Amino acid sequence: MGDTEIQRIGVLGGTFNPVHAGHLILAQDACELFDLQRVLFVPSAQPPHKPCGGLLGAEHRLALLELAVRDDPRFEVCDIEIARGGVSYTVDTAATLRERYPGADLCFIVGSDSLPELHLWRGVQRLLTLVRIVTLARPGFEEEWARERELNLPHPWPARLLGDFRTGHLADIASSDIRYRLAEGLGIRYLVPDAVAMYIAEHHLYTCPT
Amino acid sequence: MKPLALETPAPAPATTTMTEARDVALRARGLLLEKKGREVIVLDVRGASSITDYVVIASGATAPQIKAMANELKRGLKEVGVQLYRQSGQPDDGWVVMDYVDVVVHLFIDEVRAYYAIEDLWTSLPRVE
Repeated sequence: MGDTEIQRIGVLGGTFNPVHAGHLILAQDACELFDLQRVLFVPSAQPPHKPCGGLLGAEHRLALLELAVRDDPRFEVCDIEIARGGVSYTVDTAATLRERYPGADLCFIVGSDSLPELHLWRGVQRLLTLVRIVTLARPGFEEEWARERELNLPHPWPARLLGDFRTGHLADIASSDIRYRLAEGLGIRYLVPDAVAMYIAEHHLYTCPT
Repeated sequence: MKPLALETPAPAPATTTMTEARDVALRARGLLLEKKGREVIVLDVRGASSITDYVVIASGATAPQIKAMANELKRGLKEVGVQLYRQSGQPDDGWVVMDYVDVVVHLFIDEVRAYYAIEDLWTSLPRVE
């Protein structure tokens, strides 16, 4: 007797331009702080306009993500936004994943800096009822800061969102800094997994200044 | 996660209106009573709780019974278009939480209910008859 435990699956979206150690630490923190069994990394699709040094092509971003998560059985890459193409709205991804994982407790991982803007997201009301939104603090946007912000959402969502707010390692690593360093010919060792650094070097990625 | 385009903000509607939440709570009570739920109470926690409006508490004698109560609740509420938001806890552990956002239902095995006594948190609040 006894049901199988409800699977809690984290969903981490973003451009991952490129993926770095900060993303991996965030995903691991989310697993520990929200008791997640897995985390899906969902890179967003490419926008129609793409300047040099801007958003790297989907193929490379996916490849880098695969390399970054290959040794961690908890993490996997999900290409549904890339496959769908066009502008990536979280609510659409939430609806698709809800269908794909019907019994699971889906937890969309959001950075604390996004919380005050959440009410502006397309289809936010539907998104809130489709999945659980869990928030991890970003450096400079910590719990005290978040609690002071008006969340501009109807009751009971502000209380629920703040109830699902945790602070992890606050790793201060940014993709923009990695792109800058690569454009300047500076090293990115330890900021990204070795396999990611090697792929970037072999394919001469991010050589244009952003 | 940021979308790549933002819409002009529009006032977001509440998940359910107050009347609807109360109706959901009362319907939940009915469904639980049908499955022989014991001491089914409905508490109006508006103002007292920031995360929900109504709390329903019920118990059963055994884990299979509360599992049946949970399944009946899911079925009976889905039938009227009310989707379960989250479910936590295992029947075997004696405490299952069915979260419908504006209504949260706690299902216990009798002894576990007595042990945690969560209704004692809200002794001053009105029970919905």
